[in-house]
Amino acid sequence: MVRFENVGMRYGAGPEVLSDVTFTLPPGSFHFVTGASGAGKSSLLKLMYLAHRPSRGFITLFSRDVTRVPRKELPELRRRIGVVFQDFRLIEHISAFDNVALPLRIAGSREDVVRKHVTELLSWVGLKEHLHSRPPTLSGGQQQRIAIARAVIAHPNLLLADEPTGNVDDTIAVRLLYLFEELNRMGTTVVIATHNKSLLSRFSHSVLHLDDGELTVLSQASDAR
Amino acid sequence: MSPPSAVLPLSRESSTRLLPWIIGVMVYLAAIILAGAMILASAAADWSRELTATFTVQIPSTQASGEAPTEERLKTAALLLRETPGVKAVQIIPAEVTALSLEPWLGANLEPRDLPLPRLIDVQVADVDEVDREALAERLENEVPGAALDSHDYWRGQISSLVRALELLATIVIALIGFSAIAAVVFATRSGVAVHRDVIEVLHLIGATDAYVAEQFQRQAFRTSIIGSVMGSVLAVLTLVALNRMAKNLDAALLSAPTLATWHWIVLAVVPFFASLIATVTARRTVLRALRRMP
Repeated sequence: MVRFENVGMRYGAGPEVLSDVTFTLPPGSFHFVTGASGAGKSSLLKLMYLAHRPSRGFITLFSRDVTRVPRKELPELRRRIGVVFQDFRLIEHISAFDNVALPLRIAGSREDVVRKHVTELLSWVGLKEHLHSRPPTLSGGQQQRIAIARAVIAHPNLLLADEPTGNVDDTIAVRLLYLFEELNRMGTTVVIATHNKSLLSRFSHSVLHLDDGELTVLSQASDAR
Repeated sequence: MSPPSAVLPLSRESSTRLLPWIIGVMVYLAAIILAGAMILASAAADWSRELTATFTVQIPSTQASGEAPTEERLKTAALLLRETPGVKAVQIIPAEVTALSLEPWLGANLEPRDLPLPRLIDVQVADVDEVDREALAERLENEVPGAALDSHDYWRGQISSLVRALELLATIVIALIGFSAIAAVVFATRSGVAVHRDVIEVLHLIGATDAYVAEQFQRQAFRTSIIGSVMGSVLAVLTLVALNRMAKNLDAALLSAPTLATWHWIVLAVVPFFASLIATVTARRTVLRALRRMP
């Protein structure tokens, strides 16, 4: 599913923020990425959701070498990836419904299908009463749930979440993790960047630890497939 | 369920809000200049046609002894002209009328007999191709020495040159207006891409193609430009109608009212749609070019 080989990454002419990162994530696996602030967790995810290209090394995604994939082929690959951004990156002037509907509309789904799926999912994450609310009028936790709903609405093969529990209390954080596990059971590969230690101890999944741009596999989960 | 909102709030930008007015002014100017050029071209074609269908024969006044009197030579020339195939009408211009045409230069008390004014014969041709003007001039010279045939080539050439120059000028001005309108659309579109860069990035990351993003801009550009160009066109039509009425009220024989033919109105009706098409294509190309620089 995801394969990194000696990947290095830098922003512009700056120093490498990731060095010689090598790992393989099998399809349907569940992983946490940990590390201190600035260790490179977000940069690693950016490479995985194709927001950046590596400065060296190879990245294989869905059996495609994405290091050299032409720009016009990126949208097709990106539609197979769901992303929960650390700062949500919701579109503020459109409703919660329209935010969540975007991946389906972009993929060209019929409007009746969009309506059915989006309404169902927003109800499921407890936002049925806020379908038409705009993100700025909602709390941080509610915005986070919209971001998660947008990431999973199109049933991605790979789900990447950058600190998805950063703005919610522990109870909601655990509920969200159950949601991700549910998606994982349906075949989605899940990668979550977090430094919430209680979650790491509560959920038994493999942990990839980043230390100053270098990756160490700390533990292999018992359920890693 | 209400229809989906526009993903990019382009209509709320200040640069987009000004665009209909800019395009409206451009279309107004372009339509007026285009209408002027078309009226002028039609009028010039009419004048040229009229001049081609007429010519003037000039008989110099008798000065040398032994020459037949002017009146006699005038009659000979008129007879020759009437017998020429293709000639529709021959009219001897009275000496008083010729003198009258010189009044602005020589004063009102001019007596034709005091000056050796040439006599003129106005000739109207039924079939332009049937009259061989060179052969006719030669025959006139033989029958009436000194008679000269003026087929108005000089005036036709002058009018034609003037009209060509004005048409070229109109084309250049319309092209400049077009470039200015395109520049305004490019500026507004680039500004829109810069302002909404974050949203565009999100759209890309959730799988939107460049074409999807460009569609948002081109839809807005079409909406904006059609509003502006219809405003400009309506104003231009009102101006032309007003000018037409004013021209019709003019009591001047030399000036014909500037009238637009049906096909002129059709051309003017196409202007707003053409302007909108240009704006839409410009916006699309500008966005696609800008997006190529994004990840």
